[in-house]
Amino acid sequence: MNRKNTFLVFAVIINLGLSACRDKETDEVIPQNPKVNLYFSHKVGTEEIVQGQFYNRSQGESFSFDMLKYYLSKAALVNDAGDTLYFTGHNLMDAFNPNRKKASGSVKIDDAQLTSFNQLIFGIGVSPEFNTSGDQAGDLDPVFGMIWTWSTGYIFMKHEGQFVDSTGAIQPLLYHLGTTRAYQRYSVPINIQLKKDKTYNINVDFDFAQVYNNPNLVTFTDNNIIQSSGAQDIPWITDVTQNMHQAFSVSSIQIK
Amino acid sequence: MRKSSFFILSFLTMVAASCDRCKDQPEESQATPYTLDIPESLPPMSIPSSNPLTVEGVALGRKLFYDPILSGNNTQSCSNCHIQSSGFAESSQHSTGIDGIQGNRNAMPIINLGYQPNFFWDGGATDLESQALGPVTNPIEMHETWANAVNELRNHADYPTLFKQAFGIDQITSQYVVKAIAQFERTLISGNSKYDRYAAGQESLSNQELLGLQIFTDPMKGDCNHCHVLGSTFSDFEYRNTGLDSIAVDEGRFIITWNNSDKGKFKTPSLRNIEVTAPYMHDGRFMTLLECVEHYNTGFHYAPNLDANLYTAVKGRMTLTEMEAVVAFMKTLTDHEFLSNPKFAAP
Repeated sequence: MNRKNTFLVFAVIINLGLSACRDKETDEVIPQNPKVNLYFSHKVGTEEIVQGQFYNRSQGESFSFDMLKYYLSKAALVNDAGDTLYFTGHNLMDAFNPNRKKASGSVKIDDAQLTSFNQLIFGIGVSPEFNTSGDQAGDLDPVFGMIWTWSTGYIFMKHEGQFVDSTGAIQPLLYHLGTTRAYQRYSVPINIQLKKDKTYNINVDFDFAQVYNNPNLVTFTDNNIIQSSGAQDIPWITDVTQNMHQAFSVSSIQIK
Repeated sequence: MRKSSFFILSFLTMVAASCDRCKDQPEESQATPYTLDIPESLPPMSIPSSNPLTVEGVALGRKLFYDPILSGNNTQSCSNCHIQSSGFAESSQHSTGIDGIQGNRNAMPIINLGYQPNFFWDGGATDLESQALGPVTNPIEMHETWANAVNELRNHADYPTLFKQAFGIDQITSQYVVKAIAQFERTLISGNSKYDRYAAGQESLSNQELLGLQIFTDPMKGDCNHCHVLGSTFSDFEYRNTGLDSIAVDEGRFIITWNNSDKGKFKTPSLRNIEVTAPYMHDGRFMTLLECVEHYNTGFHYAPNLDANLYTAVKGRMTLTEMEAVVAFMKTLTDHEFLSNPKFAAP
């Protein structure tokens, strides 16, 4: 092979190599599926919670949050055409960690689908198919301490803090919600039309005045340590998960 | 020509490598598949597709099993309470954790775990990988957080390389720690006892052992066979209340299921190597096998959830000679090769 031929072979190879990449990188721009960011605000009534601050409730008790963590599970947008478009898996949310107040994903839409949605749905906790093993990664990594290791299953929500009882005494408040019977999906009304190449920031309020009051009154006195560890905790689990259907609302949507 | 060919080849390699990077695929483990050595006395073992056995993974699990790095003060490993010569159980009634605190249950033998559907005396762990999560964090056992344990492993001189070799991962996570331990545990297979050789026609049992075998399977006598199914794993791995107490002190399976019908129920343990796994029962209350047999003969209480087989059993149906024969038979289930196999010892 002389020098000229060598050059020719090189030219062909370079062209082949580059054209392979060009197929992926320089073809016409494909519209991207819309990105949806859910931003959660944690409130008591209209007040955004602050770590360690006490909030009054009508029963003469006031309570605080030292820790508020929970799993947001498989968020989706739903429309009247019957589309349920999932855009997240399991996200560990933390009210006091700015990096863990958001869950994001892309919604796969195509032209044939109706792109307006009237429900945002998600679970609080870990869906049953993921709640049977700790051999998991990402936000479900047991390293986050959101799992029971003596009875396999994730802690869906941890609210730890204090409360002041009707006599004025400060007592610990420790609520760990979990077990598969506690897994529920919540539906929140929304009005949103999705378009390709857009980002939608949806702000969701999570109101703990509702979680402990509406419609089931959850009093902290004599009921302040619950770890979802036995049949005696079923009424509490039922009350809290029923109340949570009233706890979520979409406060605003920004489109970029 | 030779020079230019080399140049062309190098360039082709470069192009290929750049395309591979474009694919952004996770690196796959190059670990060597591990072939289980299963004796004829046991069935094939179903290995979860999420955690295939590899030579490197099993070796890593073995190292972790014997390494105190997973405990809070780096003083205890799994092997402190699961001792090979004791059938990977231990001789204390209740194990003592790193803080000197004792639990209320007897350490379970680690034998033929790959055949079990769930783990712990109450079945609280739904797979072997999840089981390994428990003792590490239990405050009365190894009392460590997984965050700390993983951090220590990541900063260890050897472990990052060993995890890379076993799983192809660049960063150690708890998921791969428990996968490795579970891999090693699945290799702890015991099925070469005197009874197995007898069943294969290779060895004889004594007259006393043969009488014990007969009593073991006789529904009007021992009826042991009902739950400790003869052969294979010597357990059906179901949960039963065997009448240890009239009112269960430890509520057992109920703690997991919250079903009243599960109060005082515990998993039927395997009888393999039972000779060396004393003391016995979930709380280690009996020191000898004869005490156990005597419990099933006359000692059981009519607890509300007493197993139906015991409820209908006649008390005192076995003579002392017959009970001693059952014990002699159970001692034929000792697998000396397993108990001293260097493959399972500390690396």
